[in-house]
Amino acid sequence: MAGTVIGEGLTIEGELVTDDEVVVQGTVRGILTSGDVVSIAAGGVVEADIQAASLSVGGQATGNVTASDRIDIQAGGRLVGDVKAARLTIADGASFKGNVDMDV
Amino acid sequence: MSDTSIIGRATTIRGHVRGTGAIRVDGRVEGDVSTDGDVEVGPEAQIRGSVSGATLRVAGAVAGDLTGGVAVLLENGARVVGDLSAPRIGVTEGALVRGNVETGPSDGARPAFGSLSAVRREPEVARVETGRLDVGRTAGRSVAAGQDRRIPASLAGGKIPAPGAKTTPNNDAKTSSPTPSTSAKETAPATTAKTTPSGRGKATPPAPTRAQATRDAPRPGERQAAPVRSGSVAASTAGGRSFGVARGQPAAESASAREGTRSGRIAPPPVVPALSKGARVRKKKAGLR
Repeated sequence: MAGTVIGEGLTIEGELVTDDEVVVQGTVRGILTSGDVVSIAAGGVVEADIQAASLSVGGQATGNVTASDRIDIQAGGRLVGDVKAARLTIADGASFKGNVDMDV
Repeated sequence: MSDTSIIGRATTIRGHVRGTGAIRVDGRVEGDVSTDGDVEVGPEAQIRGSVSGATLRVAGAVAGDLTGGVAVLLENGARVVGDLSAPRIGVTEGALVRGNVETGPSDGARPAFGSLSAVRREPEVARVETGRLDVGRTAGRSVAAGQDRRIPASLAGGKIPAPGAKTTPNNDAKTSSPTPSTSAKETAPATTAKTTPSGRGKATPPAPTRAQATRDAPRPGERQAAPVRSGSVAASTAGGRSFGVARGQPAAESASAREGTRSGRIAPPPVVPALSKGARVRKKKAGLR
């Protein structure tokens, strides 16, 4: 079971900091920081700067993202913001707008 | 399942959490939590803010009001500082509450059983922390109430008084024994007067820090034994001002005080030991020697 789940219908406004895995099915506005995996499920909305080990976007994300490991934007996912990560995948059908810094 | 939210143990949220569906909190939330569903606050959870929902089940710590549309249930281990209101309220044995409690319909038809505080005390956690902090701080500086209590203990061994920082008298004692004496009064109740004033009468202290002798005027005829005593007295002043403690170990302290004076070392605080007759006599002897 995921450490932290922001369920559908729930909104967090502020700062969310954790070492756990985070699943966002609802809404997070502000700052989202995790030492683990952050997944934004389809239907989930994140309007925040995100810092995580890895990020998977199936819903909507707006904000700058820094991932120590990887970022995956899934089909149907939407990410607007600058991205910094060692690895990045953008699935066919995903939408993305922003700069990419892969630390080459 | 999909509409259940979980704030995990390692998670901290600063801000508001609101929406629909059930929420389980195992981590920290600094902000309000509100939902139309149930809220469960786990044993390790800490919430600083008000919580509202349908049924609230609390086993952790909440500093804020709890408002339940259906019920508020405090379980064993719950620590709540805040008001409780809901049609049904349950407080299990082992739950701590500090605040106003109001059950029944929210129209206020029933008189509240007003602050039905199960236990009136701070959450334990808080208390422990405070204690620890005090200890840490004490070592270095500040003359806090807690501190003084501890000093004499270490001084009993004849060691240099710890609280060098705040107390000027301390240093004075070192260099010129007759000088300081200063406050002593704060420390010593009226009875002590005998010992202290002598020192003061003799010396014009460079008026360090503490309030000068308040309660007693120097008594005539007390001067003779001054130098030695004043030295120790001053030191004592510097060291501790807690009555209870000092009184607890007069013998040891005065002994060490004497030693300190002789050896030119800073004498620890005998202060109140003067209260005990034995101590006083012994001291006098020391002075005459």
